[in-house]
Amino acid sequence: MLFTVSSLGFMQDKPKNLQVLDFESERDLKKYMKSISKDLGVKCKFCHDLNDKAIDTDHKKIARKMMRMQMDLNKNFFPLLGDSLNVHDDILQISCWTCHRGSKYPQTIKPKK
Amino acid sequence: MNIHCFLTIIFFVNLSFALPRFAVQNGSSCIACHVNPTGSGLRNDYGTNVVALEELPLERWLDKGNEDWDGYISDHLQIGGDFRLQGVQYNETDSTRKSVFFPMQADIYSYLKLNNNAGLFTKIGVRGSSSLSTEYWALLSNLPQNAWLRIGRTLPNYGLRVDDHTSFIRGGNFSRTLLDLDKEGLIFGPYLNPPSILELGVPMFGGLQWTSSIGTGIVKSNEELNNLTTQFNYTGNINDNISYMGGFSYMQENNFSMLGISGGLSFGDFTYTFEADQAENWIEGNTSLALYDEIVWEIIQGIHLMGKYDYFDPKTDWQTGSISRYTFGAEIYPLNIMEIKLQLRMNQIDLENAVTPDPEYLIQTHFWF
Repeated sequence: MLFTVSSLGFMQDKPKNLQVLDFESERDLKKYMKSISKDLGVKCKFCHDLNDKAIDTDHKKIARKMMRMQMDLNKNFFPLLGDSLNVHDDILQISCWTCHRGSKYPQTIKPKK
Repeated sequence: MNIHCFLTIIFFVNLSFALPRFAVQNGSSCIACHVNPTGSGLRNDYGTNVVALEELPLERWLDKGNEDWDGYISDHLQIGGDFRLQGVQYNETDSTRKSVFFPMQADIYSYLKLNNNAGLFTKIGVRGSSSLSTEYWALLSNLPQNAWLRIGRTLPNYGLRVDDHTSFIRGGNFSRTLLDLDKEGLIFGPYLNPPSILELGVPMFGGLQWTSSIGTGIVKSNEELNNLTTQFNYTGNINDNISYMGGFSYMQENNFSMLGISGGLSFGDFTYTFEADQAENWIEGNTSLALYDEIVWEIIQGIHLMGKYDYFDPKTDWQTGSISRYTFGAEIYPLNIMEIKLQLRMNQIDLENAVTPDPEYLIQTHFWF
């Protein structure tokens, strides 16, 4: 009997519960996740339950809102530059870093001296 | 004082290790970083590509890591390895200093992901100078209730799998015993052959996880299906700064039984980890007690200072005869594939005229991929 790899039903473990993000590859998704953690100066557990990263946590729900806001801003105010979340290395687009600057809670007003 | 240095290639550890304090720090179970849902050995893509790459190494050398390496050499096959070289210096009984260097661990792992719900794990390691140690199991995951089933030759899930097999909660002293007993530690010694087990793991609610297994003998190392092991483990976070783990383990095999509590608390840059076990008939007709306490301070990313207390009382009905070991040291992670461990160990024996090999100095280098 011919027993091939495909007949075993091999497939990649797909990320679950994605509601906003739409990346072509899992690798791109992970890179984007890492960029968020660096932009906010946090570790993964800030938003994820590490026992099951698909579970919605309070911070994860906020993160989704932030991503939607970022996408809207890029789409509506920088349409010529695309609306992607991930391509803000070389071109003028809004990213998490734009406000957060490595901090969990971005400064919204000028700090008093 | 004479100093003898020699190289010996006689000893490789037959066990896989983990760093349970990282689970405490993250308020998560071992599956967050390891392919093995009960921890140890091969790290998963999160363990390799996030924790080891971003959160462990010295920040100045963070960019030396390969962001694209997550262990996968194809879409379905992941590989990894652990290699440890250790040096110890201690006093011989005639008070001469002796130094020993030896390769401690050389394990290669593979994990073949068949699909979203199944995978095959194998470990091949060098054991002694001429034989191999193996571990293999099949994992069925995503069962109802997110449960998983594991079958194969591997250790049952009991307590913490700390990365020091000489801790008394694991195997304790075996080549240089202090009390001259056959057993100066519990059952998870470095030469232990993994038994055949069938294990069920069930994430229950919140961060509670229950595992239970039936397996062949560990204590007598036979092929009879007479070992029952179960563990409840609860992990969680109170806020961004505080996380915790608490667990209860029980093992029964014929007239041998062992129960223990384990866990830890992480607050900011400090992490405390503990385990306490009581074993009946590990030493025939006696009750033995083993304790493990560790506190670690991550002074900066990549440098951890640690203090550790190990205790073993082989026969609790005796008035004397216990061993205490105090360990102070540092764990340095210069790169995302490398750990350097430096330790000073002091022993205390509750016996008259007891001689300890103090101070013991230990250096260990650990590479992984």
